Amino acid sequence: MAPRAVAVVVDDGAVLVMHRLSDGAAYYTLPGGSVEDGESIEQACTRELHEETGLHGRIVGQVMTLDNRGRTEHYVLMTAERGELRVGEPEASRTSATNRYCPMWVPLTELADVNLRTGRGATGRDASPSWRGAGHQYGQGSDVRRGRAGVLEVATELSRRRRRLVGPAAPARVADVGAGTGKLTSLLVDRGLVVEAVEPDRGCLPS
Amino acid sequence: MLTVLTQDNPKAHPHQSVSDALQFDDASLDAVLVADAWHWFAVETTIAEVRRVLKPGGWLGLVWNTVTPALPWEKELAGVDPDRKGTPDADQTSLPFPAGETEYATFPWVWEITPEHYIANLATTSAVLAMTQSQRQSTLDGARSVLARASAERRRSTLSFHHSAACARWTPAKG
Repeated sequence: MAPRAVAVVVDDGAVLVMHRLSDGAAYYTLPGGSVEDGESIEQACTRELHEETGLHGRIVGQVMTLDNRGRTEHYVLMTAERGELRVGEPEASRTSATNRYCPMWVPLTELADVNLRTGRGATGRDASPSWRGAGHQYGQGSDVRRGRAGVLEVATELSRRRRRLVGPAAPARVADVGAGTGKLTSLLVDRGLVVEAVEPDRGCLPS
Repeated sequence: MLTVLTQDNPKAHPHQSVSDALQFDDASLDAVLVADAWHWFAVETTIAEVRRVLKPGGWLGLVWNTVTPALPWEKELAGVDPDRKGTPDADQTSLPFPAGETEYATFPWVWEITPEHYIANLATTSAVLAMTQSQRQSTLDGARSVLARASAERRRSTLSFHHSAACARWTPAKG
């Protein structure tokens, strides 16, 4: 059976997943699909990511190989341009009342709790994520992490490293105008910004 | 509203004013942000104020959020919720900013909140406030029952409400 190429995309603490409904079962998978004849794993991953989510991705590097009931799965770390998530072909044509594909971002903190289906490390196969893709010497975990745990580890590590690369937001001073009850305000405050909240309506609560 | 904002966000500096009479010095802000509120503003005078308070290179960010139901229960809820955020879509052609100074982007995002939080928010939307008491009661009860079933299936205290944020960023040319 052709191996499967799987994209692990992490952005701002969330992982790109596909919510699936299939014959009454609801679960999540990572975007990916069969490596076609003549394709590299990286090419297959890039193609599948675009077909399934509409996003254009870039390869960071392969991180692990797992066995999913006899089928080899190559997990590839990717970054993706931000954009609207939409299902393309052939998945869109396969969509019916009992078979649905819904790409979405799931916060990393919840990934452990959702029903995420991944492969597992076969006996004797080293399933620990290797951080050496694309020239990144990320170091290597000494523990053998498998399947879901491996995906979580990869996603968590990537998220942490991205944050470090991007660095903390400069303490910019911003105004939130028409702030209402402060939904945006709280997000801005959490980012460490100096926030001037402007709202014409004082409200009737005692101040 | 400002009182609620201040209680929930003690670190923010509150200012009671309208958008075209901002209480900030000239060239004192890195960004002015407007979430789901631009349609309330007097456009011409607000733009003049934004120009005045922005530092050189600063920008005005506008965002319009819409609900984008993804899961079956979200779609069911969309049938109950008369509001759907109640804000017009970002009609980019109607924004008065020069094309060369303006960027547009749309981002999917998830609002992770408890059913109680959602209901409390729904109850304050203009569409629900405009209802008679019995309409309001039945709308909120309908939403509660959809959310109760979704929570029971998910076995978590919070639910993921899928949204899309249409954004525009205007960076006025310097000088």
